[in-house]
Amino acid sequence: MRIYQAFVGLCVTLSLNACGSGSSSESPLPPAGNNAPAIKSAVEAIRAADSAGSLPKLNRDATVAGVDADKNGVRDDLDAYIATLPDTPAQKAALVQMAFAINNALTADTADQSALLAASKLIANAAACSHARYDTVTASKKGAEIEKLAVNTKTRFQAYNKFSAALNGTTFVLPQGDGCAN
Amino acid sequence: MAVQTNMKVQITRCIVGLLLIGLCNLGRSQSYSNSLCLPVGYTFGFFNGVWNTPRQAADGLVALRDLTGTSYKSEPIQYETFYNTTGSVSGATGLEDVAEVFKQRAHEIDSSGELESRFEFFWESLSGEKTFSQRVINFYPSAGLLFEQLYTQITSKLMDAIAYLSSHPPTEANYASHNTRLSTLALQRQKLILVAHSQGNLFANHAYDFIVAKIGAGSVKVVHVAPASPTLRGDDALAFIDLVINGLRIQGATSVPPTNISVSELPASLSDASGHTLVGTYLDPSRGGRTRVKSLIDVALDALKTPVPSANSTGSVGSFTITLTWDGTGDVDLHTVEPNGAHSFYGSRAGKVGYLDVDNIVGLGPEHYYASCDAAVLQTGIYHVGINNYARATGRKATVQVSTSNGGTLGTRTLDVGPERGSSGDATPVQVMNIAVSKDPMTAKFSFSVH
Repeated sequence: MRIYQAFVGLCVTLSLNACGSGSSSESPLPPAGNNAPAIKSAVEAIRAADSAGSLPKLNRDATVAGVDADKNGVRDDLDAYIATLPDTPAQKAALVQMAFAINNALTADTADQSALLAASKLIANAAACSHARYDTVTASKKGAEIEKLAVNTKTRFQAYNKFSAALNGTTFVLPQGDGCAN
Repeated sequence: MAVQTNMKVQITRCIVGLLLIGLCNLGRSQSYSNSLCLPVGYTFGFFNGVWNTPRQAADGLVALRDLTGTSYKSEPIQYETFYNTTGSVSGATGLEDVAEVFKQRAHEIDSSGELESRFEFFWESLSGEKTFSQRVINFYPSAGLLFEQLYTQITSKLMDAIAYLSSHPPTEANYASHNTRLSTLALQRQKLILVAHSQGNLFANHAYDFIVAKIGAGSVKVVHVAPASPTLRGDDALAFIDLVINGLRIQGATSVPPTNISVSELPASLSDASGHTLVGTYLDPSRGGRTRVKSLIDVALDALKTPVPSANSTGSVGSFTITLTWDGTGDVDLHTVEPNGAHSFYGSRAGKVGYLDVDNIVGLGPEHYYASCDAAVLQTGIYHVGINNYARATGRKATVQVSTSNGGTLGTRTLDVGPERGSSGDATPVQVMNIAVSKDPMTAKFSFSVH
């Protein structure tokens, strides 16, 4: 156990070092001015990132569904986040479709097989739509981003995990066309 | 009982004979101007990797479709996910344990509890994609090492999960739905290419072993990507930089194949530090793994042959189909009562809408009913589906699965076949499910659901 943990740690470190600082293309320094107070803890860093707009402002209430005032099947905070992106309207529509599909999965009745399979079909359609409107790598990243923003609390994780477990052993197909709803 | 069974065999032979001269084949040889069915071709079955959510599994399959295309040699390729989770306990995925690791490590990074409450960081630690984590580190570089320790521990858990699954493989019950789907595709003469990633290789191996016995090695091929399995059923692609699979080798918990993609062909990248994900590493257009995977898929597709029809083992494509399998010897019968009241079963195969084109009186199944592909023939309403333990199957479990031609599986039920009832059970089979077929008056589009 310790041998391979050490192996993984070494490899992660090497892979990061091999590619430079280990940071992404973003600046490794915070966009704070010289007069900003020194950040001394992770929570201060999180709050600073929140204040700077570096992290999306997400609903974290105790419910699975969150707040959806416009009743479009997508949490309002996700709608707002997608709207701020520089992507094309067609691409944003694909992201909204993905958010809808994941929200539908979160709230699906896992005891209802028809509902489960319908939910998996929505996800397959949304994934196909994203790939129709972005290149392969970007589509995957965008889908992962919407997923992590939608499943952003322990309660939502537990609901999503229950949904995944209920689909174990099933099959679902990709749509014949691009799968886009809009 | 023997007389009844003998009569049944005679009827079966008669029907098979009629099938052979084409009189009973309602669907396969006919073409409809308003067909509800896709033509026969290839099915690209994808067996997803460890801890893939359904979205991740679908995303991987779409990426493979981007790579492979929607047709091969002028025949359509249908893409289907054979979804599997990692958990060892029914109703769980094993991901709960990883979430606990995340919470514990996150608490060490931030004792206020703020970080552990934000599960978007959990998903990043699982995938190795660090957009938001890096933004926090940018403000507080001292947290960088702690985040790296988090990623390392999660990756170790990932290997633990695969190793556990390898040593504690799923039961036959876990495979039942996949097997029934494969049976349906095989008897409808689809050529099968099974592509697996990571733990999915364990499931793909089982799927291959199950279906190759029915259709032969020429009609099913496997491509292994990052195989976590000790054995292979086809060619594989395994990168030197794959920390997860190579970590398994070092761990020694399970044997894995040797690497065959060098670091010069597929170098490490920060976009996927694990070197293991399907889309982030093996299908990354900027590196060589993608070309290797494409080559393996092309070779497999090129080698595939259409399953050779044999008496009573070839079924037709239908607007929807019903497949019955069971887990041993004996004779279990599939009964379908159409909305018009027509009863399709071994004693009267033809309904008004569909036909029981595969009957099995020996064991395992399949039995297969298909509904017409002709929109003018397909009737709306409720189709009642039942089974009857005709003989020698007491104690068996049956699996009944409904699929549509272009929508895949609609529903699956597994149930006890009930007591042996012979032909006395023909009039009152055990009810399994109802299939509702409706038609939108505006679009004339049919919808199907299982209840």
